Amino acid sequence: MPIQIRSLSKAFGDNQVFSEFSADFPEGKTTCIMGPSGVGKTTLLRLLTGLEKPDQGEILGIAGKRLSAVFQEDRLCENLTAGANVRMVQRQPARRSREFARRMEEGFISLGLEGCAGRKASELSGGMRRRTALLRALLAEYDILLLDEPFKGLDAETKKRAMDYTKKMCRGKTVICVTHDQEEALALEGEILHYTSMAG
Amino acid sequence: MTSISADKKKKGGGKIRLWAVLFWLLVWQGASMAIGQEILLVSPVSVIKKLFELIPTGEFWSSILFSAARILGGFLLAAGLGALLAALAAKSKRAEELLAPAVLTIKAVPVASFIILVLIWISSRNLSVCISFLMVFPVIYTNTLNGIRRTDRELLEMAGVFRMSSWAKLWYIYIPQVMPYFRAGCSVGLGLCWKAGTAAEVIGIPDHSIGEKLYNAKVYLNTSELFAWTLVIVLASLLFEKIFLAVLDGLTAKLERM
Repeated sequence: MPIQIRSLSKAFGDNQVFSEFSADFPEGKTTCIMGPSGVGKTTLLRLLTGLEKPDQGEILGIAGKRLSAVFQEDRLCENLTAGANVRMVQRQPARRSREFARRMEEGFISLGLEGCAGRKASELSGGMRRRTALLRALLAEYDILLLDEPFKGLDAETKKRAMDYTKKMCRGKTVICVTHDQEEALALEGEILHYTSMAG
Repeated sequence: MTSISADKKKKGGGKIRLWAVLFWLLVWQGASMAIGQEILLVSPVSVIKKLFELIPTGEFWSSILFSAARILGGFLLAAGLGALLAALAAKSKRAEELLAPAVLTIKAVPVASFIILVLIWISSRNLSVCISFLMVFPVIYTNTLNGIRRTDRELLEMAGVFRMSSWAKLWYIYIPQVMPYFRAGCSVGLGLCWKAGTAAEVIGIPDHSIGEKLYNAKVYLNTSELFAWTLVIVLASLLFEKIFLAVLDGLTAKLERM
């Protein structure tokens, strides 16, 4: 079932971010949402994750689904290692399985993070932290993946590696990616939705 | 009593230098020689001599064992219950409201009043367990609750989105975030429990305790023994603090890699 947003309204004080907003995000495909800053892209993801409640309207096709996300911030546990940060969202017994350890190792290498699994998040650079947050989201068991500018702060070469790995890992999955960068949207080969306003 | 800072790695400030210690020991020795009366101010040399006289005796070690077991027992009880009740208070507003007057009372009542009151209720043998517990509990409770309250909201949101289990949230988010606060509480508590515990023993005078030895030293005006036992208390307090915090740090380091 696709994710369907119907007549969604959401305001923060006097700021009406969504007004009678409707959209469909197809199942098993990648959708990239683009638009200027402040248009409500991150709020849309927060509404999809349930972190914000709509004032009116409904979101269908998301109830009971397992979500995974890269947030606008990295949201890593600073004093845990990068490996522990990736493992923490796994369910038992997968968290301790050899298969997961192998996938994690492969993920760290694919994202250019060799040797980082045992380093504390607080000791990683901004780009390394971003990639760790991305790997955590990609390796989690999920039905829907929500990405909020997942390649933010990465240099050109690292970004290319990260985009290739993301594309490979997300094939056939429902992905909604918010980005400012046309190149990122094209690289993920998803449907691109441009919004200049979500408030009607 | 205020909450303890979680910053355990502050540098400078209170660093102890050997030359400064030697300076104050020389001042002490000089003052003692100037007064010339060991009863009024014993010299550090006499204290060390007395300590070496005490060390080979069985009574010395049995007194340390007696007091340490009770004082640290009270500390461990307070650490466990303080952390547990702080978790409960963080979870339930009602529980916090219920505990608030009790914690405030324990903080406000002078330790001497508690000692006398507790002596009416229980035997002097276990007095130091109770007093050590009462001194440490509010520190651990307040610090742990403070730590839980300061847990990063964004991480908890992330855990909610990924539907992390309660166990995983506790293990990966709460414990690592609260640990510095709990550790700081334990560090303060370990100093407090020895001070309050031995003070209780001096008033309750249980047989074969460090407090009894301090009391006897006072009665017989044996100043060198009084200082020697004081030194033992300070060293025991420091030693147990180092050991306990090293174990806690070891467990934290293990957790951070899991």
